[in-house]
Amino acid sequence: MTHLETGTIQALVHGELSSVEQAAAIGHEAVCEPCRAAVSQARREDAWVRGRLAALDETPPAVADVMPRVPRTPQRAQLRTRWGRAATVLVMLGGASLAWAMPTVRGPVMAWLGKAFRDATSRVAEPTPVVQLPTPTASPGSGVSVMPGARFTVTVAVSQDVGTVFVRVVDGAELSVRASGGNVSLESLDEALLVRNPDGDGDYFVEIPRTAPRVEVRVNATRLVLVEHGVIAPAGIALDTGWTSYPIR
Amino acid sequence: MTTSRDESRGAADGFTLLFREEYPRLYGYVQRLCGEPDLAADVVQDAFVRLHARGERPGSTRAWLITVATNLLRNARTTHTRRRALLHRIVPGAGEGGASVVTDRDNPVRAMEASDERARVRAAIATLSRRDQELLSLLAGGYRYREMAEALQLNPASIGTLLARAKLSFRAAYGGHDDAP
Repeated sequence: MTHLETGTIQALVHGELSSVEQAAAIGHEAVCEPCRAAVSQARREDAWVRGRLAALDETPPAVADVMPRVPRTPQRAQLRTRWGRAATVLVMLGGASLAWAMPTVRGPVMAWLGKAFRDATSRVAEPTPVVQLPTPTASPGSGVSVMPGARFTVTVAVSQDVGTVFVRVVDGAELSVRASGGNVSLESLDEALLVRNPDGDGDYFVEIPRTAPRVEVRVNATRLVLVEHGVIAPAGIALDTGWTSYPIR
Repeated sequence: MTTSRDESRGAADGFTLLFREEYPRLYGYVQRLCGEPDLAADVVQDAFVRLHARGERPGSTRAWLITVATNLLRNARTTHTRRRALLHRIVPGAGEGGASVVTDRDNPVRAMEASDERARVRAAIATLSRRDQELLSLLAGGYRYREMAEALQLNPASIGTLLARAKLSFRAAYGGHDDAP
């Protein structure tokens, strides 16, 4: 009888064996006393090591405090612009005084100065620049649009465990799916759309028409979201762009 | 229908979500390795900035982040060691301590660890090879075998065996203990 190897025992303890390998290992363990003892010892040792290593853990800083942020408009440049506009207004006031002293040019010059003054002062009241992350270069991505029927399913078949599915309800009749990242293929089936990205990581954008009776979005075999007549469930993370996001886990 | 501007904004939103999800785990991995919360925070943030600058996602984002953070930490440690050696040459006796946790005067967190379990674990970890340290820290962070293999450029089939050896080395370095398995 061949005993379980060290690597196999570790993989069994850590849940890293495939279902077939796991069944074989458990089957062997059931009839082999030394291997049963070895697996039991490996489990105890693993728990002990993890318990010691947990002593090193520190609470990470709050994500909101460390999120990289850059202002869209440099503050120094904005200050220069404001001083420049103030100087423009002063020059206009000087011009107005001069024109007032010369009756022949007073009318047209004052009309022009009035318009310029209104333009200059109206631009000073700009909204505060939004602080946000710089936008990364968007990959061209792949996309397809279809007409959904009464019961439509979008299945995202991936091996990744990092990524996001974005869902948004839109006006119009077409359902659209786009993907960015990885090597994506899209296949339109009867009442279904299959998005394959077997090797890479990507984000997926699904737009669902408000009029569609029932659209289900799946990641592999798991239902991620159900949209019935424009109502999305379960609630994901709502973004101000109108998208609702669901992390792929 | 989706516009390219929507996609760009969506990609930025995706990056934000990714950061929120992955930051704590990656920070834990680096912090366990170096024992310096500030350095760990800097290294992890730098790794995410590089990911963002990259634009599109790598094949495996999680493994890519581990690889970059590991390399950044190695570089930071090399710089730190050089500075310590230089300081020692200029001011004899200064910067001594090296692997010793107790005498590290410029890091009060380490000094506080001297009398507790953390110091003992860290001292044991410090005796292991760099690969074993990284493997154990990844294991403690709940990373999968394929992520460990890709990040550390190891054969996925050998991860279990390597982890078993690393744990054995750690137990030996930690020494006898009542609750040892």
